[in-house]
Amino acid sequence: MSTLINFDRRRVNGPEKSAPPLYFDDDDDDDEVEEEDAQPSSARPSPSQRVGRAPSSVRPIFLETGLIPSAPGSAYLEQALTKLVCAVYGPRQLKSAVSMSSERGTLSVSLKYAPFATPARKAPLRDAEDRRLSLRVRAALAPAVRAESFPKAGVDVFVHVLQGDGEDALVCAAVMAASAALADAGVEMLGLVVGCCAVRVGLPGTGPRWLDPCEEEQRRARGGVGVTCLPALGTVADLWQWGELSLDEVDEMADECRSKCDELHHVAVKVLLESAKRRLGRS
Amino acid sequence: MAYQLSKAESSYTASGLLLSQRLDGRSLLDYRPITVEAGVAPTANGSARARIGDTEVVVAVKLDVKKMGEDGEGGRCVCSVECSPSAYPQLDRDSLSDLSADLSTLLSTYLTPIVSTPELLIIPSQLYWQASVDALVLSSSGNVHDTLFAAVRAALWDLRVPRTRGVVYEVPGGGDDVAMGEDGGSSVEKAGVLDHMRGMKRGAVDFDLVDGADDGTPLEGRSDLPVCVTLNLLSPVFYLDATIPEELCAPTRLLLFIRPSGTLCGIHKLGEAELPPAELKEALQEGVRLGKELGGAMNARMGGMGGKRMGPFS
Amino acid sequence: MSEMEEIVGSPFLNKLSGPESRFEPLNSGNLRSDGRRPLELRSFEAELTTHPSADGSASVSHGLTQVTACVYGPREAKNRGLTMHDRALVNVEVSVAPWAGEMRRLRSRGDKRTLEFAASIKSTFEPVIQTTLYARSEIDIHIHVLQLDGGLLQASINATTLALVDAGVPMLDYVSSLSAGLYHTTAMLDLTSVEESDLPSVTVAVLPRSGKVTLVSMETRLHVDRFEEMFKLAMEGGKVLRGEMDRVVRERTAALARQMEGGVALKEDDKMDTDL
Repeated sequence: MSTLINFDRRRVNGPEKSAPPLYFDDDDDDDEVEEEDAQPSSARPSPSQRVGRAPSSVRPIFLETGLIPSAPGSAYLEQALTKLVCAVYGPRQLKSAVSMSSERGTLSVSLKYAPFATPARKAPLRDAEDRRLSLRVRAALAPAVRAESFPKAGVDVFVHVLQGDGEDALVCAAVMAASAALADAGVEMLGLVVGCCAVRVGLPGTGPRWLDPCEEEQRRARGGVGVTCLPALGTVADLWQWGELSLDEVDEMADECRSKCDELHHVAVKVLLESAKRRLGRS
Repeated sequence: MAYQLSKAESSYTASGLLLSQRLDGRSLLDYRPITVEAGVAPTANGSARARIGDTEVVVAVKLDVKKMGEDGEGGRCVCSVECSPSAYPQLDRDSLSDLSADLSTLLSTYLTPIVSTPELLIIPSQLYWQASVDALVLSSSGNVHDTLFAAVRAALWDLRVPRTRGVVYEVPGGGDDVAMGEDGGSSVEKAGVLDHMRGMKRGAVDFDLVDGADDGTPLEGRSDLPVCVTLNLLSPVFYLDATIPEELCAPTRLLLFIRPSGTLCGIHKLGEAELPPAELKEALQEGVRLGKELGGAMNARMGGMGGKRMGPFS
Repeated sequence: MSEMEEIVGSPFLNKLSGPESRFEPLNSGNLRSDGRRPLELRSFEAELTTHPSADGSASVSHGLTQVTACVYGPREAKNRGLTMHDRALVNVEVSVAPWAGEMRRLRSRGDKRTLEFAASIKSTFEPVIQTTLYARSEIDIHIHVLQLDGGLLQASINATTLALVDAGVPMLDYVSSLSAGLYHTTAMLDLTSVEESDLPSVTVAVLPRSGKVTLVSMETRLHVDRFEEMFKLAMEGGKVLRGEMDRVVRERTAALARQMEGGVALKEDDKMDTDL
């Protein structure tokens, strides 16, 4: 019933159900040594031990701006398995008459998964999860974008997820890519927004906290915290939490994430500086 | 939101709030009268109506038997929130359904991990009770989130999970064909009342209802179900239970989901502005304290009144 | 008619249909599945001003069926294009709670059945509301079905009538509605959902003073010879319900009058009399 409603006639629809392929690998151990950041191997480590990474390590980030020529601003971000593209359009005229009277411009964010972004195929229609993540990214960007500088107009941010690994980490990556793309498009902002997230595993009070969790780690966690902030101003744009955590744990994790955000900020700044230099050299 | 406040009205309300003066005479951390009434929908397994001020939400929980998916777990909770057009007369159809969708997503995000308890398993890794939590926002005068979660909490408190027992088919005398017939072949074995699925014998293939449809066991952890406390942050103050104009004055709102034991099970930000870093910690601490208080008060009332009706408290 | 005036509550009636495989609408003692006599109504309860934020609101329950109606207006139309220069536009929106019936069911806003239902309520009230008094404006009626056990149409119409009265919208008369069914040759009133699914049924909405009928709805087959009897019974029943509704309205008005005191209260009473 529901599949019929969600049926999209304009596409070649895949089969209703799909399963990830199974790989048969003889030597698991070799694999693990070779690529550190790959998904945890089938050999389970003890639950409170992190595979291949220090508890407070953030996976290395590759960020580049201006790779979509037709968009005023764009960015590509890769962080281990997470890969996403972000394009920014605007400020441009809005279609709806409702927002025309507004003194502030509107910022709209749409985050979409590619059908192949997750192990199980995602149907290429807007579902509740996409909207939830879009709103989360928007909540992080809205405090930074000076919407009063483009009244009656709108800025559209499109994030296309090519591969996702961990929902919170994806949101943080999307926020970073989007703020770089916004800067690339020349939209007025108060500062760059970067995000960091952490999870807590094990029993209350004892378990370690891991920064930047991947999908598997997030599934195993008891609870998690995500923080997006503007390190340039020292303000927190958004704070979210899920699972079961005590207030002290939330405080600790939020503080750690905030200090990590300062480091991530340098990465984003460096990338933007380089692209600006490149642009100057070209013209 | 399409509801707009004139600049004069907004600055009047905001400056009052900054001086700890509210239009209805409450202090900043006071709630309006809260009324919760359980058991309002006889066709549901659990239901409740909550009112905070003039905001009213009805919630009903129904249980359906579902088969587990291939991933073994499956969603044990589906949520829907419908906002009545009479609650938001100023909104058009599209923004109303957007609002309903956002509330549904919020509800299912924070409720699914809470409702997915082992008590809802009938046969491990095969059958489970799927809880459908449906809410109807009948009228709104601010603070819909707190009202919604108060109603959900009361409906889950009111929820009775039908008692089941597992059925095992056994082959007597080690015959090699499994006879499923009535006589001689199979015997139905009682596997004990479902008690955290430990009493369930492994290999149960079917189940029986133990007693009538209306009777059942309440959720075990129901006294530790979380409440929602919305902190409206208008730097440097924060206030609770905002009316609609007060909500529009707050640049940021923070939803906290707090168990009466003090554990946080969710933080969610609403609104465009950033969080005031200076007051954030204090606000969180105060929020958790108030949430514990509110949850404790609800527990006391629901327990004392036999889970039927709660009068106003604050 | 004394039989009908006796109103008996009957909770959980459809669960009593028992272990018999065949549903028996009328047993040997001439009693229905919930213990009512054929012409007995379920307990009727009504409450006015249940939602103070609306201009008028009412909640009505017939046994387990419970419906809330909210009325907004007459007010400036949201959609100018639809306004009419000589009378008010009546909009009806119906939403059925997902838990209302036996099975959970999510209905979308564009559900055909719900839209048709809303249209029939709209056409029931359009001739009764004095729309010509409010040119170029609109009256919005929102109906919420919270519980469903047969008699959806009758409960919605009765709730809407009371909500309109509560909002002070001028009408020619109360509109009261009741369903009637037939088992063999016995007519019965106010059907539950079990009875509705098994028996032919008619829903009638009447203006009890003039005896005019604004709605007759029948979706099942019925012998033409039996129609008149059922129709008349439903009309008679509607008149009884009108008495109940009137009592509720007068009680509410008296309570309001007591609060307001003196001259204002008198005026309120005058208005009541001229309206009806």
